[in-house]
Amino acid sequence: MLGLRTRRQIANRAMVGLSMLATAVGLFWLGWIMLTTLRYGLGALSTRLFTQMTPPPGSEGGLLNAFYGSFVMVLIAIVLGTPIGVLAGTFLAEYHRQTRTGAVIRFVNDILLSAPSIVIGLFVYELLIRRIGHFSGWGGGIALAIIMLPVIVRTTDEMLQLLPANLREAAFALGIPRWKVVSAVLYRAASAGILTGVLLAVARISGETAPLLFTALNNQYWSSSPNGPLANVPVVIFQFAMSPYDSWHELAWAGAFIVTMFVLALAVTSRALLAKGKRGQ
Amino acid sequence: MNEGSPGAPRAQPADELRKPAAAEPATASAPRLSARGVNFYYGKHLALDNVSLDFEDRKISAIIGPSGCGKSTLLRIFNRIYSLYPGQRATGSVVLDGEDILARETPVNELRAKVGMVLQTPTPFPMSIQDNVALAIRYHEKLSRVDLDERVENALRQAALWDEVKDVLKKSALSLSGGQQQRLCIARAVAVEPQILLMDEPTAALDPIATLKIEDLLSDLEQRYTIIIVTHNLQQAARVSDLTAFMLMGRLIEFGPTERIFTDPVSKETNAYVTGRFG
Ligand SMILES: Nc1ncnc2c1ncn2[C@@H]1O[C@H](COP(=O)(O)OP(=O)(O)OP(=O)(O)O)[C@@H](O)[C@H]1O
Ligand SMILES: [Mg+2]
Repeated sequence: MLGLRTRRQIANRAMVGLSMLATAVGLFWLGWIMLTTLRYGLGALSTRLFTQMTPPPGSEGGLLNAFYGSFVMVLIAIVLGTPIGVLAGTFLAEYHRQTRTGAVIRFVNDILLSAPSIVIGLFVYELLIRRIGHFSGWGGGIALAIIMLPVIVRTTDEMLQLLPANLREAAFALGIPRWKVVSAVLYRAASAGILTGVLLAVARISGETAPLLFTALNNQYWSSSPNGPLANVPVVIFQFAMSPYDSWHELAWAGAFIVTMFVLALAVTSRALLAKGKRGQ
Repeated sequence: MNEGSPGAPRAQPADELRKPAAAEPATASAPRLSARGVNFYYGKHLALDNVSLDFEDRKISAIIGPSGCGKSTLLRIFNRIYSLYPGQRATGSVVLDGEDILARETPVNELRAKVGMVLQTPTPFPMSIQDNVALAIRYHEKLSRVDLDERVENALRQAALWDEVKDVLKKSALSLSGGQQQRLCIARAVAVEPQILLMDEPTAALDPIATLKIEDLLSDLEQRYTIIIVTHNLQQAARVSDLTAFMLMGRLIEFGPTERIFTDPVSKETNAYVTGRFG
């Protein structure tokens, strides 16, 4: 029989070893994905990517229209999703922290959070696209906003609840009403956390393909208006990767590399923001 | 914690003492705030049992007693901050300016403008020093820029902070030291020009020098405000307060001039506590 101390040391070493292994496994796939996309997309990685339109089969080109379309739709999603999400999160944290209503809304929000994005794409297709009769960038933006929404609701709710009770009491003790306490004091104190939520939500939607297939579809040409079909990176990757043309494959890999890098950068930024917010308090 | 068994039999005489004790300071001047038969409940748990006392205008009253006796609970009734939490409830009456502040119809934000509060740990808001002080003034009154700046300066002067921050008013309040942050919280509270200042162990999180600064400040503030301060530090109560209330297990045991409470208390429990035999 080993001593208690020795047994604990062995258990500790085993746990450390296992968690390091798990981390390594996770990092390994990430590294592999990055390297593979880089290797196959390298040929297409040039300034052409950002200056030329998606080419017809067999010829050279870039992804400018797809980047632009993705940018516009993500922007629409941010503009629609952020205020609604932040307000709903505030409603939960400040007005229904411990109520039944709050619990029910949180539950429904969690379901929305894990709803398959293709369902949301279909939903917008039925509700909007079929009615207006053509694919549209607005539809894409709205579908992405619906995917962002529960992420923002949840982080806002959590970040506001995490604030120290003292801060809230000190603000209320000045005799200012709840809306003012929330908007002037609590939002500022939780701003880093809420922003992190928005960034993570953006990271989540930037690679979404399914909801865009049903809404914005794609557009081979330059189109600056979201009123019609709009090119976007995920659908272009999907279409090009499925094609038999080598030049399209290269573009698809390059697009995949850039989207992955973008999401990675967002994740790192949001981490840094959160750490900075914590130190500031 | 507190000596459990002797506490119960002694409760009887302490009960009788309450009347003269509460009446005692009333001879000096009219009370600013008077509590009558206040009970407080955390859910079903009775945390204050029939507390009655009068706080005098422009005097510093200290509330002392062992941990968990209900000092903070009592203080938090006077600005109804407890009402932020469902399940917390006070009964009885607390009269300020002829009105019962516990009455449902009392507008709570107006009450809090009259009764300021400083908490145990400094709670600067994440904004500039100036905005910390100006925030509540802006809400309660519509002042011109010049008047507002003057009010901010005045509040910071009252909190003995002006000289240290006058050149950095736009800097984040989070950049101040703990002691400065606490004085900022005092400035923020007095900026609304309240009548009463509630302080719950305002120096508990500060070093001795910062503590001394705040204690010095209290005697200046006393000229303008009725101050009720909760403290664990008996020397502090003796140093700064005019009147002292001693509480034990949710009840007010004795309330009177600080000097008498510390040198010649009526109650045996008070005597035991101020001489350091328990608590
Ligand atoms: N939020 C709460 N919920 C339930 N019970 C509480 C709550 N806050 C305080 N109590 C209880 O009420 C009683 C009085 O607490 P209170 O905080 O007023 O004591 P205190 O005299 O301020 O103590 P301390 O000196 O430690 O600050 C204690 O028994 C405590 O356990
Ligand atoms: Mg306390």
